[in-house]
Amino acid sequence: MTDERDDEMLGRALSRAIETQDVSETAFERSRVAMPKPNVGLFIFQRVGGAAAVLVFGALLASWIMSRPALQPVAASETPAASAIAAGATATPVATTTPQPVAIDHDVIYVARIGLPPVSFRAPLASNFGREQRIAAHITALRALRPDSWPPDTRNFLWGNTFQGGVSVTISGELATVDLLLEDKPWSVGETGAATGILQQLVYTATEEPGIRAVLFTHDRGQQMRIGDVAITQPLTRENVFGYKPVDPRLIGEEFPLACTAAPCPTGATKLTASQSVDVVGRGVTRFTIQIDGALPPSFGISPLKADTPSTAWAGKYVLRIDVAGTEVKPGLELVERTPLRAIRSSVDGGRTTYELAMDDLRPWRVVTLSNPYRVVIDFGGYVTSVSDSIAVYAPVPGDPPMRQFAVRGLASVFEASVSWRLRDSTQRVVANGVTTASIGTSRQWGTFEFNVAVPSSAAPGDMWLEVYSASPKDGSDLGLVRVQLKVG
Amino acid sequence: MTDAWRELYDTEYPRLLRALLAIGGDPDAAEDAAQEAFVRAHRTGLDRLERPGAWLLVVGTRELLRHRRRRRIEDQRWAQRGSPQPPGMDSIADRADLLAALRQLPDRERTVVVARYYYGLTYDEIARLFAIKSGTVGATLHHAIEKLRQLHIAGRLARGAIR
Repeated sequence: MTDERDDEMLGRALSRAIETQDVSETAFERSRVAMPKPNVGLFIFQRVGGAAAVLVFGALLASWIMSRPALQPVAASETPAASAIAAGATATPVATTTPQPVAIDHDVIYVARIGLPPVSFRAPLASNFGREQRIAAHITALRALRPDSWPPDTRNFLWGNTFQGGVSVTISGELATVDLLLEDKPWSVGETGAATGILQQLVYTATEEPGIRAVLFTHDRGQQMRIGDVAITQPLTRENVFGYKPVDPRLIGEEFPLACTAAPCPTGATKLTASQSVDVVGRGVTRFTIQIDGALPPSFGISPLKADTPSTAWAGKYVLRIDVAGTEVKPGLELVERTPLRAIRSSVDGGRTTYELAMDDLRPWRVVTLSNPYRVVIDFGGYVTSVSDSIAVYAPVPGDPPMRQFAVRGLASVFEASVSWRLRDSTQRVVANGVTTASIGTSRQWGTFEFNVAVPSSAAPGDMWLEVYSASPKDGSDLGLVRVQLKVG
Repeated sequence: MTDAWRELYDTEYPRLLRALLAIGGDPDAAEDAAQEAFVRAHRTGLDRLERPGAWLLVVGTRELLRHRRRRRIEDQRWAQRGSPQPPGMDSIADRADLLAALRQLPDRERTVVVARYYYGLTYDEIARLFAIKSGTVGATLHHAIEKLRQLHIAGRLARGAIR
């Protein structure tokens, strides 16, 4: 009898211990049973071919790392207000007594953003992993990143999708071949942007591994993978999937002139102060700024370089190098870790400063010079459908709340600085149009523009398209056209 | 999705998740198994589940243990992680010791213990739901509790020794 009572007491203590476990509960709305098509989330650990060890180990460790509290966004897209605060905090390196890391953190996976390239999310692994294991573990970790962990404005299209673990990886030079265990089931791509998002997440995550520039995805032992309508027939780089028109791959550097635009022109020793921001001047726009105090140097040079070699472990896939005459006030390495800008290294030699921007990919960039104070500005990316080779619209962007009046801001590199625009309604009828002038015309530098649009009262609420372009001096055709889908209230 | 499913989920999911975490020791696997149990319950139909809570425990446990053999490495890692024990918090440390002891039991004993003490199922219900001979439930449970007690005491002694 005593034994039974003791058993019951121990049982009750155990029950309390179970009840007080710290668990992360999934809300009903995000549960599999509440989804329109409950996905059978089998936690698969099947072996694939000869890469069984990599497959299983990767899957196990991915699961393990996803349960660790250390997961944190390193490059989440934020609201402009929030990111402005973050940018302010990171614009200037902060002195600290703790040792600073000297290389960018490759322990990341990528989450999708609709209309933009993906952004990184920290997912640390054990330090003793091999390269194949790291890729396998990071890919597997994608399937376990839960909705309550997604950074704002992002989606993980691999959550609750067909892939539930099982990765085989082989590496040859700069190419990784990654085979996923899908059990011959198709990817679920019903959600808007899912196919593109899955492809971007997979390619960016696999190529995060240093030295890997392209990845070929297959499934179930070498079968051609298809994601929605997209058949993967060849290795893909980040530039193949980020959505922008590719930058000239020849990577030729350029020299840009600088000129004083208003007297009195500044004099004295040239001091340079660099800063950066992400998602502040426009959604998906990364800005690097060098403020110039003192005498203006006659020019500055910009040249992109392939990086990601053993000798550039601190850097990303590419480095954009900027050479300016003058002295940076705080030279050194600043780890930014916000996609696509991973780090900024600056060094001073012989009165000249070299800035090296470690970049995740070779997305389009635009060079602008501004005055009062004088600044060299380099903008990267932006909303994919709002960027062409001569027009970049930073505001408004798709997804903005319905409105009847709005300001249009952006950059242009167009003939005689003439920027044209028109507004089309849901029937594609033009309901308003106009022409504005950018700060400078066709040049290797871009000019800024800003104008206001008032939707005519006759236009009914609903979808509208803002089109910004330049008229061809030859035949009046649209050049560099970008179309921004908007809601009119 | 009807309110009945939401109600079942809100009522049973937290308990199921904790039970599966206690049985398996891994939060991700517990989550996967709990979600899978609900998906299967949905396929089966609410009106066909006599005791939905117990049904979910059985299906969730089966799902959890089905993949367990392939996950020994993870178990080892889990054990190596240990449980954080803030100094001076004996009750929390005791619970951690108990859970650690529970994880050292074989799968079947661990499941029966959770079903009996956390879910409050009777011997007959455990026997029927988990397809165990009715006569062996009591013996399995007694054996498990005895081992738990020894492991728990050993854990407390060890904890005391390193303070």
